[in-house]
This record gives sequence, C-alpha cells and structure tokens, in this order.
Amino acid sequence: MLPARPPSDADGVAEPNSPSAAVTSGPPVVAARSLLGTAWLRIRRSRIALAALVVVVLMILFAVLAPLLTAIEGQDAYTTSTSPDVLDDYGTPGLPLSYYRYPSGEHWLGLEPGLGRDTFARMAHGARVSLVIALLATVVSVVLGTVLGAAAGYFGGKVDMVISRVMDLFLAFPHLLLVLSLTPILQSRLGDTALGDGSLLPIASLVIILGFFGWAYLARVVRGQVLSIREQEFVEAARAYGASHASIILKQIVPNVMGVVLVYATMMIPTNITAEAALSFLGVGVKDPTPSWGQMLNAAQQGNWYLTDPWFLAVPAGALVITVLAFNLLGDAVRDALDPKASRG
Amino acid sequence: MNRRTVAALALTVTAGMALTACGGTKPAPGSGSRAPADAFDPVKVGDGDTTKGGNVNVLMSTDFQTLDPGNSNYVQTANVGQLYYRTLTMAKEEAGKPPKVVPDLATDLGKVSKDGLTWTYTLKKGLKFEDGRPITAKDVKYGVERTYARDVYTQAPQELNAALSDDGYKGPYAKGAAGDFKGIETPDDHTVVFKLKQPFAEFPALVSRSNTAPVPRAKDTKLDYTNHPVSTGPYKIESYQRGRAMKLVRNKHWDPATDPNRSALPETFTFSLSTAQSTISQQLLADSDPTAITLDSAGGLQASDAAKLDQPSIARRTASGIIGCTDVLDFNTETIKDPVVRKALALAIDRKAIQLQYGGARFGKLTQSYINPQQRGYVQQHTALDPTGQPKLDEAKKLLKGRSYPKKLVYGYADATPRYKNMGTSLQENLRQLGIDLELRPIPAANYFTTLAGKGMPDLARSGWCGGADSGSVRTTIDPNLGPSVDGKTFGFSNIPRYHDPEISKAMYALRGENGTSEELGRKWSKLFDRAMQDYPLVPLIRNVTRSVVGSDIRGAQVGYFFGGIDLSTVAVASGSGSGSSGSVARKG
Amino acid sequence: MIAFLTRRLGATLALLIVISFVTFTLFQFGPADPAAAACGQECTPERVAEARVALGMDKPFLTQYVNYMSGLFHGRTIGAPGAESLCQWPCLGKSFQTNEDVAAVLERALPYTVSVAVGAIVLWTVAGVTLGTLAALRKNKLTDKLIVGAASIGVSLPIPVTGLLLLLVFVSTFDVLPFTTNAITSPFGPAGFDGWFLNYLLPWVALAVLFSAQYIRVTRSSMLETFGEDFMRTARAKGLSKGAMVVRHGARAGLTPVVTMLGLDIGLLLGGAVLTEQIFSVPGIGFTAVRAAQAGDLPVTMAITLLAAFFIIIANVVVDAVYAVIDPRVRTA
Repeated sequence: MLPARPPSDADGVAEPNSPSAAVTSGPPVVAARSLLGTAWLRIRRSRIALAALVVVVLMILFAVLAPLLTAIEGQDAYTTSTSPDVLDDYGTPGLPLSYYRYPSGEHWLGLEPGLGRDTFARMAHGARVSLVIALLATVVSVVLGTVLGAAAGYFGGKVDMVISRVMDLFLAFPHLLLVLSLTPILQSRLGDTALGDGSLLPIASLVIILGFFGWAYLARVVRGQVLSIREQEFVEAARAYGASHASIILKQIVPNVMGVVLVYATMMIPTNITAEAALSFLGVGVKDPTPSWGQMLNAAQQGNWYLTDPWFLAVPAGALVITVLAFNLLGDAVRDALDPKASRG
Repeated sequence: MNRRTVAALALTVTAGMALTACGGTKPAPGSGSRAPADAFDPVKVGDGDTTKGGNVNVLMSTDFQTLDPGNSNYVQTANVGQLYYRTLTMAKEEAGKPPKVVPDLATDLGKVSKDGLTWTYTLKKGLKFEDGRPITAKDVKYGVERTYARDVYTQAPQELNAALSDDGYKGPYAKGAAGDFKGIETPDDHTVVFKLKQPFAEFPALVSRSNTAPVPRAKDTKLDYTNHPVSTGPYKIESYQRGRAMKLVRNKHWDPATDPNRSALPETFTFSLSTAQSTISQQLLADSDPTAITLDSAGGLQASDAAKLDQPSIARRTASGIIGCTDVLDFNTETIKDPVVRKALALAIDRKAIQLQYGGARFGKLTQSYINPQQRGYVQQHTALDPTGQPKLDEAKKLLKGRSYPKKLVYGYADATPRYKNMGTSLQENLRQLGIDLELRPIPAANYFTTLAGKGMPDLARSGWCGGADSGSVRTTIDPNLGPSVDGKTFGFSNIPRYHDPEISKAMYALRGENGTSEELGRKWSKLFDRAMQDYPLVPLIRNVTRSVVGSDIRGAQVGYFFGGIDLSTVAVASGSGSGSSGSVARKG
Repeated sequence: MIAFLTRRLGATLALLIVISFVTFTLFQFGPADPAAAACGQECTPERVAEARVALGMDKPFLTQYVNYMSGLFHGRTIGAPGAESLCQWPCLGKSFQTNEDVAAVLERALPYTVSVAVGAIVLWTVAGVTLGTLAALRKNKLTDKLIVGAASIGVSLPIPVTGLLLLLVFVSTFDVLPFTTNAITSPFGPAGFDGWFLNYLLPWVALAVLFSAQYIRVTRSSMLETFGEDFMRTARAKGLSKGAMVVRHGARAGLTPVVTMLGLDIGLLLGGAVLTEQIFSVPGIGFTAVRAAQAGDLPVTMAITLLAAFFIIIANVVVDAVYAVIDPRVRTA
C-alpha cells in the first residue's frame, strides 16, 4: 500500500500533522493501562509539552466556565446594542465608537461591529461551541474508526473487503467539498427532529459530518495493527482456550491498539477545531446568533469589517491559533511518548 | 437642502467623530453622530456631458444570468439590454423617480379600444436588426411567443402574458403550436395588436418588458440565444466569454433618428464578469481604472467602506439615488391572527437598528409605507409607527395587555445575506422585551421566496419589492404583495403575509378588472391598501438607496430607480481617455 | 508494471463510478430545490413544475443518473422537448443557473486553480525541503529548534486566519500588493510573469505557511533517518562533507517521502483550494464549488466533486506507480 497519510484537504482543513510514519510501523509498544502514565511521564519532561497541556486545560476550563465569566463581566453573548451612543450612526455605520471597539472594564474585549454584541462573551461561548464540536466529532471518528478497523483486521475475508472498500471510498472523496455541500443538506434534514432546535442544530450536524468523515484513516491504521496482533501468540492462545470473538477483541486486541488510537485522537482534535472554523467561516457550519470561533471569523470578514476593525478579527483568530497550537504540541508529545521510534528526531 | 450643504454637513460630522475616536474615552450619551436629515436627493455625475467615444469598463462580481430578453427577470440584464435590444415601449430611467414609460420601437404608447381589451401599436419606419434585416411585427410577436415556453425559459417574464388572452398557449416549440398564438395579431408588418383578458390601464408599461424585444425566428437558438442575442439597439455583442468578459461594439444598423432615448455615447463597452465584490469596491474607491463603473447591487460597496464616501475626491465620483426597492417585515397572518397583536409587535420593533444593518441613512431611508408619493394615485397612508424608527415599547405592552399571543415565534431569513440575519438578531432583542422568544431560522437563499409561499412560511420574514419597470404604479406594488389570488378566493401567490380580508380582498379583486386611468384606479388601490395596513400584515422598513462610485472619467452617470445601479443608457466617457481599451489590469492606486 | 497499472486503473474507474453515484444520490436531498430556485419571487407551483421539466428533473432519479453518466462518454441533448440543446462531449450537464455547459465552467476555473497550485507548491516545497534539511543538519542546535518551532506554529495557522491577516497587512494597511484580479491566469499573458506573480503571491504564501510546515517535519525526520543508515556512514567515513553528503546521497533517499506527499498534495490542490480561493477571490474550482453549493447548482457541484475525486485518485495511482518503480516489492502487494 502506498505510504499514506491522513486525509487532508487542499487547504489543510484536515490533519496537517502526519503521525503516520510513526504509528503505522511495528507492533504496539505499550499496554493500555500504562498509556496515560507513560504519556504523562514524557510530557512532564518537556517544558513545551507541559505548557501546551496547561494551555489546553485552561482553554477547556475557560469554555466550561464561560457563563460564569461572562456573568462576572456583566454581559452576555446575545444582547445587541445598536444605539448611536455605542455604534457609529453615520461615519461608518455599525462600527463601534472607539471606546467600545477595544478592551475596557465594561466590555473586556470590546463590541462587535454591526450589532454591538460583547466580543468577550461571544468568544467565551464560542469556545464552548468550537470545543464541544471538535471533541464530540473526535469521539465519533475514534469509535467508528476503532470498531470498523478492528473488525476489518480481525475478521478478514469479506468483512475486511467491504470495510476496506468503504474506507477507500471515504479517503478518495474531496472532503471539504463534500462536507460543504452535505452540511446544509443534513441541517435541513435534521430541522424537523429534536436536534433541529436552534443552536443545537449546527453543533449536531457538524459533529455528525466531521465525525463521519474522520474515521476512515484511523480505521485503516487500526486495521493494519490488528492484522499483526491477530497472529501473535497471546491471541492464538486466547483463541485456543475458546474465548469468544467479543472477548478477544475487547481484552486482547483493543488494549493493544489503544496507543495508536490515543495518538490519533489527540491529533484529530485540533484538526476538527480547524475544520469547524473553516466550515463556519464559509457560512455552512455554526451560524449567527450561535457563536463559535469560525462564525466570529466569518463575521469579521463580512462587509470587510476586519479592515476597519482589525481587533474584531484578532480575538477569534488569536483564540483559534493558540488553542490549535497547544493541541498540536500536546499531540506531538503524546505521539513521541507512545512511540519512541517517532521521537528519534 | 441642496447637495452641497449635505456634503458639508457630512464632513463636519466625520471630523467630530475623528476627535472622539482619538480620545478613546466613553462618549457622553447622545453625542453619537447623526445623519443629515434628508440626503436622499439623487446625485448624478457629469450630468449633460455629450462627449462621444471611449470605452466604459463595467465591473461585475458575477456573469449575467442570461442575456436573452425572453428569459430574463433580472435588472442587470434589463440594464445592459438597453444597449442591445429595444422593446415596443421603454421604461426610461430618471434618477430618484420611477421610470417614465416612453415609446421605443412603437410610434406611441399604444391605442386602446373603447372596451379596453385591445391595444394597437405601430412600429417606427427604418428599424433593423444588427444584420440589416428589417424588424417586422412578426418578430415582435415571436419574441412574446417564446416567453410562453416556460418549460424552456425558467425566467421568462410573465406580467404581459398574464394580461393577454390565450392562456393555453405553450410557446412556439410545442408540437403543432407554431403560429397558433391568439393573444397577438399582426395584420401587417408594422402593426401589433394585443388582445387582453381584462382592461389594463398600465398596459403601455407591460409592453416595455423584455418580452416585446423582437427575436428573428430564424436566429432563435433557444437556450443558447443568450450567447448572442440579435441586436436591435445601438450596440451589438462582439465577443462574450461566459463568466469572464464581454465586449459590446456599435451596431451600424441602429438608426439614432428612430431612438431619442439612448444617447449611445461611448464607442464600446467592456464587461469584466466575476471580479470579487470587495475588489470591485476597492478599485472604484481607489479610482484605479478611471473608466470603470459597476452594476453590482449597492454599488458593490462593503459595510466598512461607508465612511470613505465622504472623502471629497470620492464624493465627486459618487452617483446616488433612492431606488424602487422597498423592504418590509411580513407577519404570517395565519399564525399571528390578531391584528392588535401584530400592531403591538410592529410597534416594538427598532427600525432604526434595522436601518443600521442596511448601512445607515446613506443606504436606506426609513419608510412608513410600502408605497410612496412618487407613484401614480398615491394617497396619504396612516400608521402608528414612529417615523424616526424608534420602538414604542410602552404602547406595545399596553396593546398586548389581556390578549393571548404566541410566546414563541420564528423568523426566517435568506441564509446568503448577513444583513437579514442581523436583522433577525435585532428583532430577537426587541421581541424579548415583550416576553416573546424569537427563533432565527435560515432558509436557503435560492429557495427563499418559494419557501415563504409554501408550508415553510415562518411567523416573520423579510421581503422586498421593487415594483418592476412600472414602479410608478401603486398597483404593481399592492396587488402582488397583499392582493387576492387569481380567482379571488384566497390570498395571492406572492402575498407573503397571506393576508385575506373578506371585504378588502374582495374589493381588490373587483378593482383588477375595472376600466379607468392609471391615476384614478391608483387612488382606489391606495385607499384599500391603507385600510389593509391598519391590520398590520406587514411592517414597512426601508426604501433602498444606492450609491455607486464611478471612475473619474465617467460622465452621465445616474442611479436607475428600477435598475438599482448605474443606468447604462446615459453613461459617457470624458474625452482624453483611450478608446476601446479592454479591461485594464487593475492595480490598487 | 503494465498489469499493475491496469489493475489500479480498473479499480480507479470503479471507485469513480461509485463516488459519482453516491454524490448524485446525496445531492438529490439538497435543501435547496433547484427548480424553485430557477424562478424567483413569483414562482407559482405551476412554474416550479415547468422549471423541473426545463432542468430535466421531472425524470426518474435513475434515468437522470444514467443520462448524466452517459454524457460523460459522449455528448447528449438537454432541455425540454422541442427545445433541446446539445451538450458536447465530455458532457457534465448544464449549469442550472446559467445553462452553460458545466465542462466550460470547469475549463474556465481550472487555470486559476492551477495558478494557485503551481506557485504554492513550488514555494512550500522549496521552503519545506530547504528548512527541513537545514534542521536535520543542525540537529538539536538553535537553528533546528527555531525551524521546528516555526513549523509547529505554521501547522497551527488555519487558512482563514493567515489569509485575512495577509490581506489586512499587505493589501489594506501597507498597500504593497494588489487585490487579486481575475484578468490574470497565466505568466505568459499580457500581464507578464510579474503581474501573475504579484497577483497570486498572497494565496501562495497563505498555503505555503501551512504546508511548508508539514514538509519541514517530514524532510527533517526522513533526512535524520537517512543519515543514520549505513551508506551514509560509509560516505562520511570516506571523508565527504555533510553538505556534499546531503546532495549526493541524502537527497534521493531522504526525499522519497516528500515526493510521495507532494504527489498527493498536487492531486488535492487541483481539486480546488476552497478556503484560499474564497478568501482571495480567485474564481477557481473551489470558489466555483462554493457558489454552486450556495445556489443549489447541482450539475456544477456534482462535476466538481467528481473532478476533485478524480485528481485525488489519479495522484494516488501515480504515487503508487512511482513507488513501484522505486521498490518492485510493492507491485505484488
């Protein structure tokens, strides 16, 4: 097979990191129980990894505590203030007057142009939306990828053939293009269901779409791993004792692929954060009034506001880059920790 | 207030603002800048210039949907169409006012029979197609026939067809249909006779629609006709690369003696199709091509460009004027049944905040009615809305007291336009004050109006109406928007509020068939409309104003009331600029 | 080799057919009804029905699919009975919006996409390989750490952020570069190489920031791996300098993964850099795709998805073939 790497899009919306070289080769090196412990040991030794971890934890805390923080600020993410005392009424209509454009005690990160909503509150609530989408989509991909990949590798034969062909199909699709056309389709289909309620809809649809398109590469990697594990003695032994398929998969196979899965999961999170931002930026993901970082980037570009009010671009861009960077660095550290071969560099 | 004082006022306002901006301290309440009271007089650039020659470079963010007069409901096509096709009558643009219907191919506005059911037009002498062949009555008839082939031309304009008899006609391509059309008779090569179902006072405006542009049957390439429509106007298409560029050159078979409506001053027109809108606005503001104009709506200007319009060097080059399009907020009268509740909601709305989403007073004038005094037969309209757009919350709350009303409503908006979404966000805030939770529901922009007309109509939705080529008539606004269906039994198809009052709608239905002058019928329509509006089926919001910056060599630029952009039929280029230069590669100034 | 290629091409064709069917099916459920979109504000149910005929959507789904696919192999006529118009080979249908041949739409968009791709690829490959090699040579020194650090930041910069930032700084604030214009599609046109270069510089940079970071990482680790191998040790023992080693021996072995990656990326990029084209208003394939998706212009969306999938698959086949040449063991795999 060709030396593959994770599906990416022309714009690098999907995985820009390439852990493939590292994890596709060789049998798993660590057992599941000690995975996190090993990773932690390794991370603790690197200042950069530690800093990345701290940023990630802080960002998650920030998202969790968003309602509290905005309450302390005394603002919320939805209240508009369009009065001429706040937004320019004639010069550049909709541009916040300078006091309101930049950080102040009243509005920690200023107001957005056009509707005069509080940027800090939107950034904080946007963090919730962006992170929830990225994490849940990752969970969906990881579960699908692990289960299908393990099934293909373990059962082989027809099962393998069907799953592998489906994987090929998913890997050959131009993801961003398809996601771009599919998201509105899904949103219109979900519209009448329980998920179709207001702000839940874009979140649910993005989780489904991103989750559904992210599994194939992981499945291919897991399949490769399982193929080699399957033939190893401890599995043969378990089979000889008459252990059921389910028990073998759960007790023998899954623990042994957890390393790979964990590496992929950490790498998938920043990918999904970026993907959410890209889709919402293009106007098909999270839509106003629900805030997300991608939606805020979109708002900054609308009407070229970012040219007259660069601060309005800086807030979501900064949050996005810092978070993605932290997750990427953390991902590198986890990969290095769980696969010493990769860390040789 | 004349133009100059407005500009001066705008300047002082900006200067004051700059000062506050530097300080960065919180402004005292009420110190915000204010728009000049009435900046809505039309402004032309280089009016009256008669320099011949040169090239006008038209920048557009998209290609024309079509150039086929028989398949066009688009203002941009109608605008460029003035250059290459002529119709029996023509809606001649006058900045800031509804267009005036004048004879074009025909010698006059038509002769009507006593019963009002027959209109007769005589073609001028010496009319020719671009290949030199004379234009006959049959070519005009064939042009109309094509627009009946609606399964071929999805955008075929139907206003004229709806007025003519012979509803069953399916167009010239249907089997055995050739020559069967009974709605038009051509007793000789110069005479076109229209047969109507009902009298129609504004008929001369109907034959200004592109349906009556002559099409030679032998040259009808059907859907491919858009690639090279045969010219009857002062210019013809020399080259057309879809999505990229088009060039128009003079049509030597066009005789200016037959055409007092088109100045046809430039030697050529080049069109750059598919330059990004933000790029177009930057190029025009920077004057990087002195012969450039744009046909994009709102002059291609971006929200953040507004302040630059006050710079004298740009203000000099900005044509502006109010246009025929009025935006309203429709209530679904089937889900919000109580007129008093609708009135309360209307009063709670901050129309000033909505105006801000349109770019403020530069781009939108608050209006108290869907119709306006410039239309024939307008009579004074009444409404309780605050003329400055402020919400009247207390009054609204008082009206709602003791009434049952929905606590959860849905606002639908076309998802391609941030402005309409922002409008919803603003409405959400307003209705929250009344204890109503407003959900914002995006609707695919391409299907927006069919969704509103169908089961998907939300409780509130924005819509707009431009009145068409005959925006001078009140009927063309009132009937489609609040009138009854074709049979009069329910609300009409494009009646978005689904308004149907037993008495008022019946009166409107009866009025449709009435014979009389446009003026007197208009007054009746206006009165009925005012009565209907007391039930608040909709809230009038904004009359759109277009500001379009042109290159420094452009003259004769006016904003068309119907086109909503620079009127191509009057544009000229100042002497000194190179002629025939194709779209110069634009570099930023 | 020929057997290998035939097998791969056969599989490719099958995959493309499956993709086309899946895409065609999915898009039938689109939120926007193209027929309703075709006739605007006064679109009565009768007119929607007539528009369905005009767009060929009145026929059963499978018939539509078969018609569409047959058009790929020979031309066909499209339109209402009595007013059909010819859609020439290779017929990808006609745009619902403008009735233009979709093939013509793509033909027009492709030069823009190619312009973006060519420069970006050159830029990021040169930057990525040079910096990656440099980092490998200076392993664990400051240079290495700076380059690796920059690469980490680079992969974390999403295109919308980089793109808007570049526009803000270089076009709007300092006014040193022009807004992109659609008048330039090649370095050989009237605008010349300079015009072309300046026009596409920002999109290239935006893409290169993201991609060169990946190339730095891969080049660096691959080079380090190569340095560790026997023939390199031998070379060093023979007294070759590090630089000469890299050029003579390291490049070939160390760059193999880079070539692979490059092949796949070219395939991806030819399918349109959606975000980049959108931000810099380059009317290429990706830009066209976004507009078509918004307008519910099914034939265009469909064709672009197929085209992009085609590029991706072809890139895979080519990379495989190259690999097979380098390493004969692959052929039997």
